[in-house]
Amino acid sequence: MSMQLLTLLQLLYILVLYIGVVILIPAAVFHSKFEEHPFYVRYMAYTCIGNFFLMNLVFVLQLLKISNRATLILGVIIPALLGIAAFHWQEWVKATLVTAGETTHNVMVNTMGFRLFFVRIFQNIGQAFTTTVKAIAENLVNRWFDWVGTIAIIAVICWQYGGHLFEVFGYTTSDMLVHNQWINAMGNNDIFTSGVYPYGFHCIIYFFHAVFGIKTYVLLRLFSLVQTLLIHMTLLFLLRLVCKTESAAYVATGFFLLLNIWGENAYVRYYSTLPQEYGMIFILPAIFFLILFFRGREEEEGTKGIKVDSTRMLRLFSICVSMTLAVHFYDTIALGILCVAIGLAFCRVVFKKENVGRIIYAGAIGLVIAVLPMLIAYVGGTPMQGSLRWGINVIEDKGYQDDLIDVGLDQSRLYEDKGLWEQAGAGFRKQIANVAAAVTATLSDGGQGMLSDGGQGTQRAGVKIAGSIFHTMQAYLAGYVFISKHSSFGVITLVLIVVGIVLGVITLFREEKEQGRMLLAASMNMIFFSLLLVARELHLPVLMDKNRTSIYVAFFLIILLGMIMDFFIDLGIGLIEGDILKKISPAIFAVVCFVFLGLAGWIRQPAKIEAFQKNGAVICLTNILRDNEPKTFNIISANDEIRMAEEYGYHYEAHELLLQNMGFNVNNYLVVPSSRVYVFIEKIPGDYDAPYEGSGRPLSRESASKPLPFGSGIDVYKGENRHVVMSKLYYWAQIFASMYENEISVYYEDDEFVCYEIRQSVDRPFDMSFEYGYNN
Amino acid sequence: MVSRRNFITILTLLLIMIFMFMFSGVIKQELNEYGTNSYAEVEADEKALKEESNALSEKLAVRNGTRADASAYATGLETGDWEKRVLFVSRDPSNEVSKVVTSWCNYMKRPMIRSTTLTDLDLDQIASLPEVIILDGEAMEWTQETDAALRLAHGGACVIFARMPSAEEMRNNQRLREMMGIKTVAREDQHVDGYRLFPGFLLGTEEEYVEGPGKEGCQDLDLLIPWYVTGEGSKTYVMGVVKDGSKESEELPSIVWRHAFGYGKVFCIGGDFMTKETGIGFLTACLGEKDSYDVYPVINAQNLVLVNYGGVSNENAETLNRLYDQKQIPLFRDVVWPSIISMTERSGNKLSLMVSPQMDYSDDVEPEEGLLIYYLKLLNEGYGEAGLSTKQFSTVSIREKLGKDRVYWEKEAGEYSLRSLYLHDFTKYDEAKQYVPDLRTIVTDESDGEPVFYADDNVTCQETTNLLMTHRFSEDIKMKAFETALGFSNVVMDMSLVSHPQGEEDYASFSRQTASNFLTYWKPYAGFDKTTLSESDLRIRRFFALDYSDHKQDNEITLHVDGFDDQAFFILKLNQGEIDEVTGAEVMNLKNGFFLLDVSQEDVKIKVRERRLFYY
Repeated sequence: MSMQLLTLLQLLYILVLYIGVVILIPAAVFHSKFEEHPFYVRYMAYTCIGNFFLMNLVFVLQLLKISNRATLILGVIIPALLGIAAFHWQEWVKATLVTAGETTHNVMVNTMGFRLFFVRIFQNIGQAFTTTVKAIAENLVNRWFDWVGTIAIIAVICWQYGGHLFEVFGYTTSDMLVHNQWINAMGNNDIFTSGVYPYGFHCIIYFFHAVFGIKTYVLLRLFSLVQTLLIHMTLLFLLRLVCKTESAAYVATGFFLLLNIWGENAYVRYYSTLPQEYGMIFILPAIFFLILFFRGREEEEGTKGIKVDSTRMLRLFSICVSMTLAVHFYDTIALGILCVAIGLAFCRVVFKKENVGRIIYAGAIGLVIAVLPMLIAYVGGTPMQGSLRWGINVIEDKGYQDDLIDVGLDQSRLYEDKGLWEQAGAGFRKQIANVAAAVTATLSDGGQGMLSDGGQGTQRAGVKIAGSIFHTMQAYLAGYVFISKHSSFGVITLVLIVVGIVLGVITLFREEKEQGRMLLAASMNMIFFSLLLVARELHLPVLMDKNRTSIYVAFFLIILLGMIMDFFIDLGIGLIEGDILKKISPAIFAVVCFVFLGLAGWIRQPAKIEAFQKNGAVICLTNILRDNEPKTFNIISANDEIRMAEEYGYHYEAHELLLQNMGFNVNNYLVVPSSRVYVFIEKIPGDYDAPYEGSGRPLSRESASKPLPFGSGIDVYKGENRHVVMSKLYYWAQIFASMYENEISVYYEDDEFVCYEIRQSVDRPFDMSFEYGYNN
Repeated sequence: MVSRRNFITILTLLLIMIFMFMFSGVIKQELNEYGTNSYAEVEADEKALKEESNALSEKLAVRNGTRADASAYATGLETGDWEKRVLFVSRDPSNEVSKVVTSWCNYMKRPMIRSTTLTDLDLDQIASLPEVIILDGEAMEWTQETDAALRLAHGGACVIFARMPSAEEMRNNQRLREMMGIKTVAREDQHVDGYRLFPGFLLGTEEEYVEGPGKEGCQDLDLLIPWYVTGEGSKTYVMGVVKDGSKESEELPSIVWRHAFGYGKVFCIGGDFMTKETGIGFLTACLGEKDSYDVYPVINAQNLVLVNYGGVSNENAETLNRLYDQKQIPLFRDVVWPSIISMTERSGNKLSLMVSPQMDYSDDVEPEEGLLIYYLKLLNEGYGEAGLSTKQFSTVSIREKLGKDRVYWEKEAGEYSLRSLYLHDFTKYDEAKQYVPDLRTIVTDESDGEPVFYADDNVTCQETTNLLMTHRFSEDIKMKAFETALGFSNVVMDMSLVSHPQGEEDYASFSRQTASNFLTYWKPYAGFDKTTLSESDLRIRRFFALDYSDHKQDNEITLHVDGFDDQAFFILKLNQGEIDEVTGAEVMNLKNGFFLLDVSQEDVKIKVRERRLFYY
């Protein structure tokens, strides 16, 4: 079976299970509560409930140290059954049971023959089938645009973010390995193994690993597509909620997926399974439910109580808030900023006496639920995880050097080694540097210039500062969010914000309050995020680093763009006469947009993603796990497999092996104690995202003859160090093979990677230390 | 009242049932030819096989002498044979090790050259050196021979130390230690608790030969050994076990191991394995570990022989009455036979029943009529074949005994061809064979000699490889060694222990012990064929008559069999890759890289491929 086919099957399996557990089970329990709402509301509600439940179930079981397959399954099934019984007992459950009982009785007392019994059963099945098909057909006819649009969006997501899964098998970011380690530790009920950290994402991955036996490394490899699919669905459905026209939502989401204007910063992390991106699934639903709450409040005319629909929406808002914090606090920050924008735009609704307290209470409850597991662990003596400190340092503006001004001459860091800085034109680079310097100079004179010449000076300084801020914002937007050749998009973004505000005000005057407020909220949100990009220069709190901010900027910009488009499409449709034309015009608009993009060559191709491991390594790992009993093998490799195979086998660091061989001592006896030992060697060593002169060349005797690199952690495998380690390991393996030609064989080999299999007796393992010519 | 119609129906049903039950018995009785030995009907030109065997033996006959002599010898051999030659070096060319090496070369169809020294070899012509050089390390002068041995091994020769030089020599000779991969000589004499045999060397499972629960009284290995600690480049096949827990396994003494030295391989066989025929298994195993593959002929026969089977006369009635409250005939018929059949059915073995009509000719008890034919009926129904045993507890001559037995046999089953004989004392062979005119094979007691050989031009001899009543550690190693080298075992149950018990142990414990031993220790060899003595006799004749050559090119192993007669068996030891396709033979996987080839034509081709991964 090819790895591609295996990947496809695994992906489908994960997708089906995720939909089943996270969406369908909540749907079975809560469908009566949301049956009045359109599909996209139900979808959002079930997704949030499902995720929230799973996360917190795992949190509780982990903190009680009783998390395992049985408790997790029971933890899902029992509440689901109780929920179904509680919500539906009076309805179809009871009716079905009564009918089944009566039929059985009739069959047993011979008042119903078997023939009739089976006829009835087939009739019922046929009826159900016909009804379902009818409903689907009816829905297809009535909502054909939604169907086509949604399927098209899903297809584009799969093309953009799924293709690489079949070409690149390894982890695509270095921190995935750390997450893998933490999830592995959860197998021993050791949550927060490296310190207190938002574990919501890990809980979900762990759940699917523990319950369905999907290996964690497989989930981490493939789950990115599932979560990216969900992120884009939330974007699409929020736009469907707030836009009056259907096409605006699909066209805007399509732009986000297809426009070739976004810088890699803005979307490259969607290719990896990472917590921050997983948490993005819950940002827009929070706003989604908040808007529904506002709608509900207006329709309910002050009615209160737990059975009121708006209360239900507020609860969903609360669990979304909770999940953003439980998964990644950057998502909570983003949601917080978005909530401020919503609060300002909807101030007349939010600050109503009967609403404000409830909203604050809901938000606070959500935060408390998320913080509680972490707090329990922290109070129990678990320290904070290192990256939390890093995040706090960023907020406190300490120690994080990604900033244009602070980095001074090392401005290429702005683009995180993606080579974009080099791609940017020299003029553009100069512009950014000049603007940033002007802002700093203006702000650093402490307003002396403003005071020196009275009002005129103040006015001039104000204009100068505003101009500088505007320039810096557009420069940063252009530099971080868009690709360098579209530097004008920084200005366009700011123009869109202004347009959004103007249209929002116009819409408010047109008595379309929700649309107007949403336009204003989306515009203000963009202002806040643009300011966040230049927060350091304005001496404002730096809530998150610029690279991460740019992800949210692009994401939220699409909401603004969608709403502006919606305004004009709606205006255009109003001018069209004839029902049929009105109906098909959105579709025509969407088609025209994308045909134009295609003809103009503005369609983005999927990014070329590179992994930290060679494909061969993952192919080997997959086969090794299939071929061997658990804990009967060792993998000698450079780091990554240590976590990927942690639950199934043992790992021996390649560097450690070479270290033990240094300055060969005849009296040493180095043992790697397992019956099978697999040695992973990169014939063309990677550089682990640390390029150096000569990156990508085959391993060599020259490299092998260099001293073994020293350093901590992954450093010995980064850059040229990896070349040295791999070269030495290769020649070590060659000498081993000359001594044990019958006990070693090539397990797998391609142009870039080779894996040797060593077969030995675990009771008399071979001596792995010997003179191999490069023991320095 | 039963109606007439119902009565006829019931009667018809009864008749049908009676017919159905009786029919099978009647058919069996009528069609079974109890009086003939079906195993004697296999047609084979035994004379031609013997002639081919003689010709081959003559061609490969051992030569003594120097390089010059060897070159002359080479002219009489085909190229393939000459390439397979073995050089055996020992100051004492007639010692036990020499005999073992000689018989091994005979079985493996390899020409053998003996020499007393390595120094007369042309060491500059390593490519022209023998494929295998076996050194009797204990019988060599190492002050003179070390240089030559080192040059040979370093140059790429396969050197096997059939016995190790003395521990003192090893301690003092650093270069020899280096060649053998010995890091240190920890002690010259160390008492170990037992041995550990690792899998993949000898055919069968890995084993720890240390006394413990269930293994009481099994230890009979030499536990006083020199403690050699081997290191990098070495692979240990047998190591000494010291149970005090003070040492890691890699520090424990190596007894049999391999070391990669320069371009060559050095095999070291410590202990006393090479002074007995067990050595043929160790030499075969060493060769099996030398290259990526090895292929060699085997007999492929697993015999279960019940010797001294009484049960046709009521001898030793007093003792048996005391122990069992019954006489010998009912004891054997109603107790012994069912338990033996149960054992053979579970193992799938065939029986070779060596009947002993009488074992005491000094009493008046004579064998009873009808019982021999009873057993022959049972044997003919699928359990095996019958032969005669010569053991007796009286003092009559073997002529007299066999004369009387012959008379009884001809009276009871005159047409049954007697082809096998259990002759516990091989020196009486010439006397005995006259009384068994159809004799083709004899079974003799265990010895340290060759397990199979021609007793004369017409008769083969199959030595007892194992007695079932005991299974001590050395016996287990012997079993593994013979299975590895020859695919042969001749397991004997001495039933005189039941008819004439020596102590107070009853049949239940005898049966339990023998069944347990047989069903446990021979289980890994289920891939070999289960045979009667006549069947194994034919396979032995074919084995002796054949010669073979093999080579590997790219991924294809080619095997050519000379003297092929209808069927031949080979073992293929594959150390790299897996079998892709075989033409000219059927393949049976014997585990741990061993495969049995059932060759059906002269040329066999085996394609080997690298292991394919499931996910790619």
